[in-house]
Amino acid sequence: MNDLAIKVSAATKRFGKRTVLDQINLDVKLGETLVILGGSGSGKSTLLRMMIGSIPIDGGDIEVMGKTLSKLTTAELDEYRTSIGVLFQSGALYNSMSIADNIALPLREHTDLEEATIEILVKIKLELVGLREHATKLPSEISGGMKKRAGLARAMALDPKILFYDEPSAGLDPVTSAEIDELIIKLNKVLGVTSVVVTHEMDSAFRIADRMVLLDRGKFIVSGTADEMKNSQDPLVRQFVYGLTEGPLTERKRTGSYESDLLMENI
Amino acid sequence: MPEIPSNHDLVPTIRHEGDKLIIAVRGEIDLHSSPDLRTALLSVLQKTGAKTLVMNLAAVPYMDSSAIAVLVEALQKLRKVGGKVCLTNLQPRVKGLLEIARLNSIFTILADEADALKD
Repeated sequence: MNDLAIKVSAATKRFGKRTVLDQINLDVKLGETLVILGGSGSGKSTLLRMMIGSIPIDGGDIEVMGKTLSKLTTAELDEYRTSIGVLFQSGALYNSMSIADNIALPLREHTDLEEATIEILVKIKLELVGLREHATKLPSEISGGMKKRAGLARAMALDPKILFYDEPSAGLDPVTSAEIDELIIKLNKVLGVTSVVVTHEMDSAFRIADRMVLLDRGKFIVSGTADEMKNSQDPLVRQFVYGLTEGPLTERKRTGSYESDLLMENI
Repeated sequence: MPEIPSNHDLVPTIRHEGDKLIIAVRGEIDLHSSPDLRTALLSVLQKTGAKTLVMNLAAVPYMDSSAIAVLVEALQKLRKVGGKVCLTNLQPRVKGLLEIARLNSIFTILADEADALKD
């Protein structure tokens, strides 16, 4: 575990009878930016939610910085969550608080910093994501992309050593998306922050990833660098990476149970 | 160069050089220790009335943004009396953090204490 930030061993998750993650093994090295790719329903967001300790694992283990998440007490799990940063898809801001207060919240709740220091710190974080002039606005008064950037500022508030991003580029214009990517890269290269990014935006993935993994229907398909993924001969990887309309993913939909479903042949 | 006693582990030496206050800082400064840095800095500024603060960060391998915020707070106070904060001997990660936070231009960043004394 010495050079590993995260070790996922045979992680399995079921919702009812459906297995959404099936024996996933995955290592994330310290200081690495790992991108988890996969289509809708591939299990990638579920894997991320298990890694941040927001849903329990049904089989296997996830170790983060040497701590096995399934063995942590509630208090230890709370402490773990303050040691990591998470950017949720929606930004997950409190609607009744200004953007500045949203970012100040973890600093007020989890540190002994004086209010004068927190005020400066919030301005620094807002500047990082280009929102300083919107500090006093409520989440309802800013766009979806700005909410996401505010969420990122809050995720960075406590200077976590590990940051998890759930679809950081979704809903952002191309310039803002590139700026967020640039920030992820800088945090990684300059400060050694370990990043786990769930996305299906390939442009962003190629910009930021040291390594990528592809999940499909809850199974681990392939792992490699951006170049290895681009040069892969696996039809599923090629279809996903290049966004091709023909390939196993679309074939699967066509040969599904549509006809028998319509004709009720299974009943 | 009169030394000023320091009760803080993070700030092992403080001394005057003319109208400048030279402060050596030691160790990693994060969310847990930056309140101590703040107490040490604000107390020495109040006691001495110095206008220029030279922070020698040679022995600081890492500081987080709460520590940077404390330095900004010291700069806020000194700017009000026409003073400034010089940072010297920056280690790469500290320099990188200042660059990411776009704060490398609001502090006076110099190679070492000798440069700060000439400045």
